[in-house]
Amino acid sequence: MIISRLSFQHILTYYGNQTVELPTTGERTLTIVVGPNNSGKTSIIRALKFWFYGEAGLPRKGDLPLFLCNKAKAETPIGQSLTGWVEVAFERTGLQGKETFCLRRTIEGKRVSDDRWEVRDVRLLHVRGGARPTLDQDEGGRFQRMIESMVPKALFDAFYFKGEPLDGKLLGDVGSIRQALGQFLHEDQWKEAEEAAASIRDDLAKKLSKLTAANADLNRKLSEETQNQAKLDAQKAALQEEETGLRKAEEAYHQETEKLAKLGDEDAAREVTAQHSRAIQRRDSAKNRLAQADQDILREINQSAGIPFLVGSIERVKTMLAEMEKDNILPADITPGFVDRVLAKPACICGKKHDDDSRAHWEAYRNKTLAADAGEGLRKLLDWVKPRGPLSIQQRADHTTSELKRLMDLRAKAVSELNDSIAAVASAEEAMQAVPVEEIARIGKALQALQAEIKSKTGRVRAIAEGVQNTEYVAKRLKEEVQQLSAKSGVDQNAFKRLSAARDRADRLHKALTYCRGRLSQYFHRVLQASVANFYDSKATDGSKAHIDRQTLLPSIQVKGQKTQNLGGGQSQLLALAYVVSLARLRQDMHTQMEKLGVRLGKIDDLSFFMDSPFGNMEKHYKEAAVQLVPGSARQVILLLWKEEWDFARDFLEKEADRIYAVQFSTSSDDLKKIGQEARTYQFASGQKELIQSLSAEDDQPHSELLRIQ
Amino acid sequence: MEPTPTPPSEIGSPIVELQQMLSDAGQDVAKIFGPALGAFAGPYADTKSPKDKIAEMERLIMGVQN
Repeated sequence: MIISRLSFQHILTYYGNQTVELPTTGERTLTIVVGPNNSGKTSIIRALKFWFYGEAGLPRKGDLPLFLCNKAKAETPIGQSLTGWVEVAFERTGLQGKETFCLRRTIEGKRVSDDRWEVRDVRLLHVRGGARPTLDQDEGGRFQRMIESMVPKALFDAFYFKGEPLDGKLLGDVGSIRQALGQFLHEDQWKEAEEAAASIRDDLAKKLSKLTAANADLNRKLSEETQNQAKLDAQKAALQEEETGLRKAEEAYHQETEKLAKLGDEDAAREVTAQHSRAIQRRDSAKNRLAQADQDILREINQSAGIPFLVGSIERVKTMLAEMEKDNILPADITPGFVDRVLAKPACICGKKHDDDSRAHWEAYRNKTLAADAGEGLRKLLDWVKPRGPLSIQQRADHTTSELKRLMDLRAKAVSELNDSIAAVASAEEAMQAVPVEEIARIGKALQALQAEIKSKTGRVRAIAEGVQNTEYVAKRLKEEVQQLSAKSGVDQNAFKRLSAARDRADRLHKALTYCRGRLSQYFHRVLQASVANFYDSKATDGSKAHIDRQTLLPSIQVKGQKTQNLGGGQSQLLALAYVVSLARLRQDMHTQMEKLGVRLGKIDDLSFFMDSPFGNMEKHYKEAAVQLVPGSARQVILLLWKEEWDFARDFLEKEADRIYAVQFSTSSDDLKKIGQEARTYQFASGQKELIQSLSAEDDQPHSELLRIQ
Repeated sequence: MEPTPTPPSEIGSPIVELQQMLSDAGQDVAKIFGPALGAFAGPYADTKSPKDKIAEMERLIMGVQN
């Protein structure tokens, strides 16, 4: 439904006749109505709702008198009547192509006292003709049904909305919207057609049965055929369910695979995890070896008892010992050749000259000192200073030094390994941060589970399909038998054939409708999900994602896979905008696609969007995104903006707009004084305009009028 | 270029599959599928009573030939 003209007569704040002409040609049009707060922008939406649904479109029963303009009411004498109306001229695509209609919703009230009004009549009229139109009653409510079906009441607020409540309505728990969506996307009419086809099929089966009532054999065979058909239907339904499940699993598998491809290679992720694990093992092992080396070094130092420090003294001790040995002042028992060295000298150190008994004497002396073990300490000293031997200081010092060197090497290696492995752990952790390892692992598991499910479902589909094939074979055989029996039975063969073929046709039509509706339902979900996410996900700065529920087709926002409603800043409003735009486009596309199937779906080929203050309460980023989304989003968009929104979006929207109107509001001079000059002044390409004026002297009722700016 | 909601026609329509399904359903059903659905969801469907809609579908089912 594309609106070409919208007129008011004495409605709400609008006095007299006010008209907005809307562009209808072109793929996308944008009309902007700019006006001060409380001047009558939202009145346009309220008037439209009244036009669509009459009294049922009002928030409260009894609001009707309030719909008449106060200024016009003040001018109506007591006892007289006043008629106000909302008139909409619109286009829609019907069987004959584009059709135009003009409908007027009137409200007639009578002034019964100074401040009391009674509403006498509310009606919908078909307006025909130009300057002096003919007004026809809506006989049988045909036009009322037509406009209500164009915009189901539950969806009115989505397409003719005031910005702020929109997100709450669409994102909250609103079951009635799902029902309206079904109507909007023709699902309910589709289902009605399915039910009609089934009921016609059953009626035809009954007629067939009556026709052959006199023939028991034929009837029995027909009954068998009906039972077999029921079995076949059940099998086919089960097959379809399994196939749907299989397709869903395959689709999920495909989606997970795509996600995986976006995240990275599963093997690469596994390798990163393994590298991290190996680096940690290396680091821990190096730590252990370092600790062990430190412990061993300490032990070795303790055991060495400072011996390596004695090595420097060995030469001096050896020299001293050699001199003592030479002078034979070392104990006789500790040096070999003692007796020979004594006898080699002419006399003993006591002066006595050697004689023949001297050797025996000195030998006895040495044996005596040996027996007395008087040189034990010096003997040990001699062993210590030897270059080799179990007590050799040099040997023991060499051993300690060599062991300490070995341990120090091990320690240095462990330190180096520890440093390397710490760097490797850091590097692996960095790599793990770059690759969402956990998500990849989750997808890997999900893929395994889906593979198993696909395998199992494929098996079941095959088994059921075999069953269907068998039952179809039986159906074919039964059909032939029924034909043979009917030929023998004497019933009217022409009538029998005609009824039988029609029953079969009704059955196939029913199945085709059911199948088609199921496929379209999946298509709606797929399209809405892709379309809304494409816009929303690219604009959300907090990582939140748009999600469309498979059953309800309603949108929600998810953060890390969890539905959330606690988002401020404009995300939910942006989502709602993307959703309604996608919904309108889906419906438009569905019409085009259905025409390819030879189906002319009725009602509207497109929708008007009336958006009242859609950019309020949004952060700058989201507001900019919404401003850019709205123009070009549908064949007809009407934006109602107040000053702040206009000032924000003017640079972008003014050049996009096909037409601009302004609401000029007249109010008392006292009220006017409270409003600053700047707040009254609106900028347009054609110049600035004051949209709040003072009432004339003879007037005391605030009212509005619509001015065309561009 | 700002992203906008993806046009549905770019997302993968089921029409080819449905055309095949109609072809499998038989020529007679393919002929009446559009008009029969149109009786319930067509441009003037809301101006007809439920009984009239069913009668229209029945006429189509009885009238078409294989």
